[in-house]
Amino acid sequence: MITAVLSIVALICYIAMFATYKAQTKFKNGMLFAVTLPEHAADHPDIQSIRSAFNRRMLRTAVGMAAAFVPFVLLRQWSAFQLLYLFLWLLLLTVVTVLPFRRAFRDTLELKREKEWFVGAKRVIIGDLRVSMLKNKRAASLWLFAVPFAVAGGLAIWAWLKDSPFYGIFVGGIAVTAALLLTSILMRRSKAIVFSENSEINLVLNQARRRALSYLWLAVAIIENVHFLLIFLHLSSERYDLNGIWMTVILLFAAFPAALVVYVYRSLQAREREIVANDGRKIYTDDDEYWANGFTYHNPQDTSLFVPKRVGVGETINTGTLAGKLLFGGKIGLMAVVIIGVSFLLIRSELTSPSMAITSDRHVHIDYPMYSFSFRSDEIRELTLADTVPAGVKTSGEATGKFARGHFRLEGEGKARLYVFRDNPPYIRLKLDDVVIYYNDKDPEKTRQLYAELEALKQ
Amino acid sequence: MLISLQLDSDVPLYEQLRNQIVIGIATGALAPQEKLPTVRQLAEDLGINTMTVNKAYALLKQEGYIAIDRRHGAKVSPALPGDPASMWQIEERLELIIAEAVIHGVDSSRFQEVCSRIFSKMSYRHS
Repeated sequence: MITAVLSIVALICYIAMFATYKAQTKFKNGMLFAVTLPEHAADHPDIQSIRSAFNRRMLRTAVGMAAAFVPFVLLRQWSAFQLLYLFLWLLLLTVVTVLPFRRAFRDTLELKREKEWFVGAKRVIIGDLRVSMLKNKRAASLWLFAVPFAVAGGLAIWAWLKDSPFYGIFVGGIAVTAALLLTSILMRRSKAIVFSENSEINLVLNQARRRALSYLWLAVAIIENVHFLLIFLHLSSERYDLNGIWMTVILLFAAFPAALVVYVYRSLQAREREIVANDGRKIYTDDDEYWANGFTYHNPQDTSLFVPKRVGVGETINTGTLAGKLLFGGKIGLMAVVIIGVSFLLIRSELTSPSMAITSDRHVHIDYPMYSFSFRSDEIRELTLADTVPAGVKTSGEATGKFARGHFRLEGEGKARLYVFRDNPPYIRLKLDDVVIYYNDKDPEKTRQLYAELEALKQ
Repeated sequence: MLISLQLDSDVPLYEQLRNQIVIGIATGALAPQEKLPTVRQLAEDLGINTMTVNKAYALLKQEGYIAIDRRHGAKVSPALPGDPASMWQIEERLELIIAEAVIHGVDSSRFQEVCSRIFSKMSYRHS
C-alpha cells in the first residue's frame, strides 16, 4: 500500500522534472535552453546538433532513473530502508535531470558568443517611470488576506474548543496563509517588467499580471484551508473503513491549487506575448551573464530578491543579494535537516524494538525512544490477549506497513498507545483508566510469555 | 517614460538618471507637475540602491527641475518662466563641447544642423 502511494509520488516528481527540462528544447519567449537568441538562430544547424545531443542524454537519463527505481519496489519488506532509498532516488533525480540541460545551456551560450548573435543591450537597467508608480494599483488589497486568516483561525479555535487532538492541523493552515501573504507582499515590491517602448502597454500588462497573481494567491490560500479542513475531518471521522477514500480525495485535492497556478501563469505569459508582438516595439535586453547555469540567477548589482525564472513558472532567488544567499542556504539547510532527521528516525525505528519490563515494585515499564510509558499494575482495568488490533489513525508516532508505535485513536477504543508488530498476533491488550495499550513482541511465544507474567502480576 | 541606465558607462548611475529626467522634461515625455515615483519605488523598480536615486532626485531638486513634497512624493516643477540669464552656465558647457567638436573636424554649419535637429525634438513650453 505504502509502496503504491510513494511510487505515485515518485512518478509525479519524475514527470515534472522531465517535462520541465524537455520543454527547453523549444524556442520560446526569445530563448532556447534558457539562452536569449535572435529568432533566426533557432534554426541554425549547430543548434540542431546541440538539441539532438540533449535529447539523447535526456533519454538515457530517463531510462536510467526508471531502472534505478526498481530497487525501491523490491525493498517492500524493509519500509525504513525503502523510504531512505526513495530519498536518495529523489535527490539523484534532481541532480541528474538537470545535467543535460546545463550542458546544452553552456554549449548554446558558447555558440552564441562564437557567432556573435546579438539579442539586445547588455549590462543595462531599464525602467518605466509611470509603471513604477502605478504597477500595484489594480492588485488585490492585502487586507483581503483577513478572509483566509479568519477561516484558518476560526477553524483552529473551533477544533481546540472541541478538545480535538488534531487542532494543530489548522495551525498549518495559518502558516500556509502567512506564506502566501508574504508571497503577495514580495510580489508587490518586485520590479515591473518593461515589455515595450510603449509605456501604455507596459502599464496595462504589469497591472493585469499583478492583479491576476494577487487574486491567485488569495484563492490558493482559501483552497488550502479547505484542504486542511478535509484532512481534519478525515482524522476526526472515526470511520476508519473509509480511510482509503479519504486519502484519495485529500491527495487529489492538491491538484486544484497546482493546476490553478500553472494555468494563471501560462495564460499571463501567452497574453503578454501576443500583445507585445502586435505592438512591435519590444524591448530587448541580454541578461545571460547572470544566469550561470540557466536556472540560477546571480547578480550582486541587482537589489531584487526574486526575479522571474527562465526555466518553468514563477520566481527564482537572486543569490547575489545577502538575503538571497541566506534564503538559499536556509532552504538547503532545512532540507538537509529534515531528510537526515527523518532518515535517522526511520533507521532507528527499524533497528529498535519496544521492550516491556515488570519491576519488583509492581510497575510496568514500556521502553521505546520518545514513546516510553510506565504504569502501576493496579491501574490495569482489563487484561486480554487479542487476535487483532482495531483500525484507527495515528495522532503521533510511527506507523508503517510493518509496525505501529506511538499514540493512536482506535475504532471502539478511543485514545490508545500502540507498540505492535503488525499482522503478528497475538497482541496484549491493557486497558487503563484513560488509555488502551496494545503490545506485542516479534515472536508470538514471547508475547504469550509476557502475557502470562502480566496475568500473574494482576493477581 | 522609459529610463535606461548603462552599468558600464563612465557616467555614474545617478547622473544618467538625472540627465534622462531632464531630457524627458524638455522633450515633453514628462509633463510639468507630473508625478514621479518615490525614491523607494524607483529604486526598487530599477533594482538599484535608494541612495543612488536619492542623489539624482536631490540634484534635480537643487537645479529646480523637480519639487519634492514629503507627503506626496516628487513632482516635475511647473513650467518655468524663461530665464535667459542662465545662459552663461550653458555657454560654459558649450565651450567644452564645441572645442571637442572642432578638434574632431566638425565645422560650424554641421554643428548648427545637429543643434536644429535636436532643438526640434524639444517640445517644452514656457509659462
